[in-house]
Amino acid sequence: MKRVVSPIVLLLSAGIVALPSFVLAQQQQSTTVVPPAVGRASRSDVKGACPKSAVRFENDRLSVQAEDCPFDWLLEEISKNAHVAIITNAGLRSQSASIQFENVSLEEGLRRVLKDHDSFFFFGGDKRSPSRLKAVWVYSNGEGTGVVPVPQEFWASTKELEGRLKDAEPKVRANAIEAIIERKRDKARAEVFNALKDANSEVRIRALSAALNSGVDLPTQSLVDLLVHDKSPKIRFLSLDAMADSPEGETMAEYALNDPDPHVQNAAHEILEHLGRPTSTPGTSQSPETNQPSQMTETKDRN
Amino acid sequence: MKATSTRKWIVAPTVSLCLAFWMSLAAQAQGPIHRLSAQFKNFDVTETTTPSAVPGINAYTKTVLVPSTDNTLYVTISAVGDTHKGNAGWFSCNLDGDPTLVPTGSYCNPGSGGAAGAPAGWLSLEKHFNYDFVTYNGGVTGGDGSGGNGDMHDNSIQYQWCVSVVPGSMHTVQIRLASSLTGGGAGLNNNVFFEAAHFYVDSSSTKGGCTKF
Repeated sequence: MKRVVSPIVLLLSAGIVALPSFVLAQQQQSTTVVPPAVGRASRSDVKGACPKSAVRFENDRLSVQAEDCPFDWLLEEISKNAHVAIITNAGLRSQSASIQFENVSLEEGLRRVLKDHDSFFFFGGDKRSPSRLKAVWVYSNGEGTGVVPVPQEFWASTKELEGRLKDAEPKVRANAIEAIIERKRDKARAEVFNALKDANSEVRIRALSAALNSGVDLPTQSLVDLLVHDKSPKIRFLSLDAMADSPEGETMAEYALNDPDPHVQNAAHEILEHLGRPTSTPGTSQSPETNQPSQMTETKDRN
Repeated sequence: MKATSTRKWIVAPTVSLCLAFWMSLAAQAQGPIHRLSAQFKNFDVTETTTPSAVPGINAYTKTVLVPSTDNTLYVTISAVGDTHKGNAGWFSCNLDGDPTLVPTGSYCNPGSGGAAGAPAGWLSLEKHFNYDFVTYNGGVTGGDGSGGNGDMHDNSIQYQWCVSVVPGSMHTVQIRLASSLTGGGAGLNNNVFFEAAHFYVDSSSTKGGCTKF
């Protein structure tokens, strides 16, 4: 059940090197996000490189006069004036732009500025206001082909994810604990223990499943407690399955034979059969052979 | 400082938007395959065998929790085997029990194959004709075991079922083995066998689940 490829690796393989703007802005790290790229020439220096340039955004209309200006400076100015996040990759920094237009819509203006690039426009709204352009991702020509959005769990900071563990929405909490476990592995034990106390069973299931598949070392006593006390049969199954090869496996399988859920019972039968103690399996097979195990498995003798 | 403040203001709306980031379309188009179980049996000079007609015996069972992201389950058997007296080894896969034994159970695929004569939900994965030794008079008789002319050791058994499931659901996967009883009738040596078997249970997110082509 492990992920085949780390989402971070996927992001990198897709050529995406920019991180969410607000994260980097707060952490003051070098970034390719526009507005300003930290660690590069100051805005005044850049402005000095194209002194006749101007970007205006008035009455929702965009005007641009740029002559051989750094491309990221131009995008930065549009971002700052039009209050739209523009996110680029590093390859665009060294490019320059020359373009002039007057009094066009923001979307049309950006389309003209980005005519030689791949871009994704994000329009968002809420119940109180109409949808509007809120963010633009910019790639070099051809780099945008074959990429799609990914959930925030893949790129949010760990601190942000930890904050979502207390979200009112169970799905948000479940996504957050899964992402935290994937990042922190065994160091996520405290978060896992808390998630296993969540009132929502889906959060508990996803937390336990992710922990077991990510090598989080859960004490046997914790698994026993889950098998004995948790109301979710899926939690009881996962905890029993996790103990199957432990010294407590046989004892707990015997206990689980009386679990109210037939699937947990079946899992208990499977564990005992694996340990050389075959039992009849209620809920699945009632065949005559199940009750005559000697007929199922024979020592080979010129058959 | 001013530039930083401006930057924060500009990007502030994105904080509350849960803006999606981007990943390779190729990476997202197909959900990964999750291997839920990988087990083997009869690698110790033992065999799983039965002379019984359908519904046969419970040859393999494994309970799994389908990941909440997945809607398709894959059940694989990879083994070797033989049969006696020209009987066919019939195999079926079910979720939560053979439907003829457990009302809540269902075949992984309730359909039928070709001319093997196996009942719906069952497949003939091993079969050697018990050849007429009059025609082949002077040749080898009795196969290479004691199970008649059709007793030939061993042959590959390889099959994989797919079945649609509810994401996050729990199932007991079962593979059953039965004899066709076509090798001479009841009372004769109708045993069918497999050994050195691997079993895999996998899952994935697949558009539409396991669908008819």
